[in-house]
Amino acid sequence: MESSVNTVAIGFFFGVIALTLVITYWAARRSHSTKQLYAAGGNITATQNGLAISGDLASAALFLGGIGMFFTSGYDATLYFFPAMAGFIIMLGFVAGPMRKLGRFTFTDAAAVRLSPVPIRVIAALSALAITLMYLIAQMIGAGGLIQILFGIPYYASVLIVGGLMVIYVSFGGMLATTWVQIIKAGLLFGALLVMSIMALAQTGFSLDELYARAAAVHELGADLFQPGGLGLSQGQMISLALAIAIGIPGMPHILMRFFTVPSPVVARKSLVVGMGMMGMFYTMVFLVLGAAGVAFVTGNPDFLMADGSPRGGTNMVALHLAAFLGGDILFGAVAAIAFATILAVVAGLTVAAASALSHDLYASVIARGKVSERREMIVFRSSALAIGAVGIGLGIAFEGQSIIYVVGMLYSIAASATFPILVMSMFWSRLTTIGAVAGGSVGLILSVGLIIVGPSVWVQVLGNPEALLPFDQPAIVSAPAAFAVMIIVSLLTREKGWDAPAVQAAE
Amino acid sequence: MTPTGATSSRPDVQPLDVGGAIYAIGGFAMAAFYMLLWYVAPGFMEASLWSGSSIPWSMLLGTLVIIVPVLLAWLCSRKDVESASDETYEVAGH
Repeated sequence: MESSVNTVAIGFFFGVIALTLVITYWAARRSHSTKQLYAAGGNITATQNGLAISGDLASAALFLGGIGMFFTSGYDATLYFFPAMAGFIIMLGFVAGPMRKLGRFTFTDAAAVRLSPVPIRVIAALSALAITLMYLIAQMIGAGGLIQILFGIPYYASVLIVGGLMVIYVSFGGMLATTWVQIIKAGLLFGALLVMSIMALAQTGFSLDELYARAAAVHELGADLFQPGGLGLSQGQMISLALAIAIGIPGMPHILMRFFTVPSPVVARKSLVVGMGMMGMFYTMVFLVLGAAGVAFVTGNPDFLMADGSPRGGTNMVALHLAAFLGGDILFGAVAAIAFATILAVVAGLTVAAASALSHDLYASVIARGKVSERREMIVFRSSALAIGAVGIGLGIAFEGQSIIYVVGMLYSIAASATFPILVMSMFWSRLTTIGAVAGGSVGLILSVGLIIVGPSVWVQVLGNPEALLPFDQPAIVSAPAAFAVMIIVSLLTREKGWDAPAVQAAE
Repeated sequence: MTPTGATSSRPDVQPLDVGGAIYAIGGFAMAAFYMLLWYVAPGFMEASLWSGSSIPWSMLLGTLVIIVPVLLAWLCSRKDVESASDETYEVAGH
């Protein structure tokens, strides 16, 4: 069925590349302004943007990582799902409408409306870069493993291929190409998950009960497979991870940027509801059916395991092994190609966000102080996409072997501690000062990144030290409250320069 | 217009959408309560949905806590209408 070089998969794979390049060519012919490049002209409909939001969020971490995590740790995979749904509704209630109303191309536009724009853009852009680069790492790891298993080529070469394609999409097609790649990917992923779920249930006579019984019978956790605790995280770490995702989602720069592709705040909110509906279906199929199916049909199957009993290509590839079990070469090829499209769509969205932070927030608004031609800003955007691609490739190679869903969990901590506090406080708290926002955002960014670096996943597994300086990887429970607290304290101790102080007081 | 410098009057903060805030807090509270059940009621989470079933309550509740926020979001936004107060900053040119 599945081999190191699967011709059906390779056919689908090149089909995906051809389709996305055609879209990029079409979009490139229409992307002659910064508004087209950053925001797809602002004319995307609610349904289209909702699908694109789900295409942006339903990453390799959900599809490959979610099923892989259920394979090893069972029920705890849901720690990445239900807080995300809570995060979406926080985004709907507090962020989507006001941010679309205030901003133009990036969330930093909205944050800078009431504050001194240069310092707030610098800290917000640095936060956006840290988040998007971390997310790129997760996608690169998934892509590297995927292409490796399809073609039998080295991991680093796989990462280079994905990085190269991502730079082409973004540099030439901008947000318009990214949007349509994400919409098509969302449709393909929904179809793949639905077909796999139906075929998995068909294996047990459409009995969920029987599927769970089979999974529990072959997994080392037994019936505990469906109970909390499989990840082995402490209560504090679990709460920290859930908090990071719940308030990190509304601070993800590449998702926030999607709201500028629609014409109004109301359309932005409606598009988020569409996106939530799609994500709810994705999560439910993975959590309820495919996680258990991966355990039931891949565990103990010699076709998919190495000599030591671990899945070929690592746990991130369990979803593909499951597809091969359910539908042979054809389903394996189709699902592998869709997983690849998933990665391409997400990395394209991330690269747009990261390149925009460099070209729009740092270059055009901070360095050039707004005095830059549209043509030059577009050149800087495209150059930034190239630079982001190179950095993403390097980090993707350095982080080889990490669990991709775990890396995603860490980056949510940065969003929860840096971008979310800045965005929410700048829109809703009248006493916030620029110094307070910069101080709080800096503390959140430095604390979250610093604590991740000295934690086990980076300090031990990446840097090769024998023991971590701190025993946990999920810092949001410390860094997010610290960011809010510093923001409030410093703002109360300072006054905004450059604004009419009595007017500010009156507004309160 | 992208704001690139300070002006003489600082824009007001955004008005809080009270309905949206209630739904958001409700969704967050539901997720927090669900997680609380992990620690305070493990026996309930492990119990089968029906006698002899291998489907525990944990899986049903886990699915609900994923699906219910979609319903809340729909309820929250179903009466959204375009209004002048929603004019975007770039168009309004504040």
